[in-house]
Amino acid sequence: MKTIFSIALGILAAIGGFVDIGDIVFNVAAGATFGFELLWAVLIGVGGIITYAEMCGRVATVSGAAVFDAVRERFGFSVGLVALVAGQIVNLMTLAAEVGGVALVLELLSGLSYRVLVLLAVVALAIVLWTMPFGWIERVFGYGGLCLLVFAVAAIKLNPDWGAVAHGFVPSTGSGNGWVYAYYVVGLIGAAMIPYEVYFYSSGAVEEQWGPEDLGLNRANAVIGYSLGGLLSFALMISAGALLLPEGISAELLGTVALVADVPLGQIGLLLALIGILFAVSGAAVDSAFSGAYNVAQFFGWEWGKYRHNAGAPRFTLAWVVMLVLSFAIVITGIDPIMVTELSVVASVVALPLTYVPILLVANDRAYMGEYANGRLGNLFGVLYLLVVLVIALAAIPLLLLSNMGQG
Amino acid sequence: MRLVVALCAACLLAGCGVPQERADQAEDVHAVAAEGALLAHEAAEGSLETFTAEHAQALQGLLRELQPAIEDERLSRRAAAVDAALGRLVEDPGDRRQAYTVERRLRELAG
Amino acid sequence: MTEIDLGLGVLDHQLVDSDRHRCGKVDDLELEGIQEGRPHVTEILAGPAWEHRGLVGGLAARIAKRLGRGGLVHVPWGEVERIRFGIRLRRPAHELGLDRGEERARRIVEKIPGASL
Repeated sequence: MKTIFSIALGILAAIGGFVDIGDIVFNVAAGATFGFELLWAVLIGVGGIITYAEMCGRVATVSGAAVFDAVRERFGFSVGLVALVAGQIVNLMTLAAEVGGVALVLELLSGLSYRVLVLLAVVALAIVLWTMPFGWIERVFGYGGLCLLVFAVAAIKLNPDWGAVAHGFVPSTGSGNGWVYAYYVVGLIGAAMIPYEVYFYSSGAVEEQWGPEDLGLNRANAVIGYSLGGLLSFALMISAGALLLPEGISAELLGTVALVADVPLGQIGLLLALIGILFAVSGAAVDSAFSGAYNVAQFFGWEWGKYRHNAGAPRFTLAWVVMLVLSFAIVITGIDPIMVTELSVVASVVALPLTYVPILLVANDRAYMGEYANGRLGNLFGVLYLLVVLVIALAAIPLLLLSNMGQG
Repeated sequence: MRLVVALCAACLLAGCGVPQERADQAEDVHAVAAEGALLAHEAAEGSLETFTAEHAQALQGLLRELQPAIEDERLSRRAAAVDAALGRLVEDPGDRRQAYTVERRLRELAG
Repeated sequence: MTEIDLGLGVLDHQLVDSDRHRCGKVDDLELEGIQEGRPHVTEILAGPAWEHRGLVGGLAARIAKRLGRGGLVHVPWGEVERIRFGIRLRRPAHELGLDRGEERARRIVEKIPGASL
């Protein structure tokens, strides 16, 4: 009974923790531009994160090696360092996007000045990271993010053409500008497979001190948690498609996202949407700050982990402090957080192969993983997604330019 | 490749994402007016005042980015009218009767 | 598996001390007996010993030295207790000189209230 309960709690936290500012921006914009036509891209992305995260979790559980341990062991120092630098640039961009997103939501809720809220957000995040135990962090932000389920209710209330919705899960070339469509495909898959998710997930397995008996938990968390989390992405796109597209409204503002829940459900929908966005994006900020620290500590072999306490892993602690300070410097310039979000997703797509490949290699290594190495199904998905990851990595920057950053 | 990315970034930051074609500009003005109408409708039903004011202000921001590039006189006047209507929501987000009037006005302007 | 295969296999793996604390990575290896045709690992090198680790490695090593972080630690191969999921050492990091970086950082972190959280 206790195990089922803790599995359920873990899944709930995974659902709420799935969505970040990148998912919000891309799913709502895709809905406003193409209606339900891109649901299949989100489905592919969800399959990708499940495959990737499950492998990372298994590797970390069996060997105690998180992502960048594996990267250095398989690629060696030089190539590994290139992967680290690329990964850190992406983490920092993601963190900046999330911090900007938090400030935007707080602005909508409080009316205070954006720049003041950026400072407030960074200080609040620092306090949370410094004082909260790992388990609490996951749960608080994960459960708060569940408020985003309001978008599932909104989607139903908006009464979309469910036939067209079902059709959207079948890959197609879509109507309208082909380059923009392709850009969104890449962006949606990229937003679902955003790297900090796996860095955090694999390090989390070690933080929670999972052993081989927890491999079932790993699989449940990854498969069920991320599938249901994917439902939130679908809900965002469906409700945006049902409301914004017919009205000819474009989605460039975070307030527009909240409006999508406001219109069908009134004030309570608006409030739940804003709170859900706040927790989901704050949680993502915490996760990406930690991910930056996990990566550099794992690469250089420093002690790491919240379970070691701040002074017990001092270089790791200083690393996330530096991440927060740098992200503050980026966001306080007043750069448009929505644009930072889009660029961070594109950058993460380009860097994705650098961390995906070593994990796939390690997960397959029988000498390392013993009986827990990838089976045939695991490898089918693993290799399939390797192809997906390589294709979108190559296509990302050309599409960014050809589609004029999704504007056409 | 890095040069291309840098050029693109510079271009985007400079705001060359603003459409220059009249048709695209009209679409954008329509989009803001339509969204403003939805926002006003919710305000008329009773919504979070801070959200109404902040989001209306953000919508005005979008318009103001667009306005310098509009050459067509009629479109320019329409954009100004949308901006003015949104302004009333910013100033008095709690006035539900006014919000109802703003909604009707914005629906007209959205065409 | 010959000793040399073992040695090369541990490159870039995690060093773990007797208290199960992480204390760096195997950055390079010192080999002997190559001329005699009986190569074996004599030492593990931990620190910016990346000159022989590729182009980027050499660059990184030079940057580290310029930043004053040139300190290399030599860990005799005899200090290795076992090799599986990390190179387990027989003694605590402090006795082997592997904790200097961490201690420098700890002095900063400890000054902030709540450092034990």
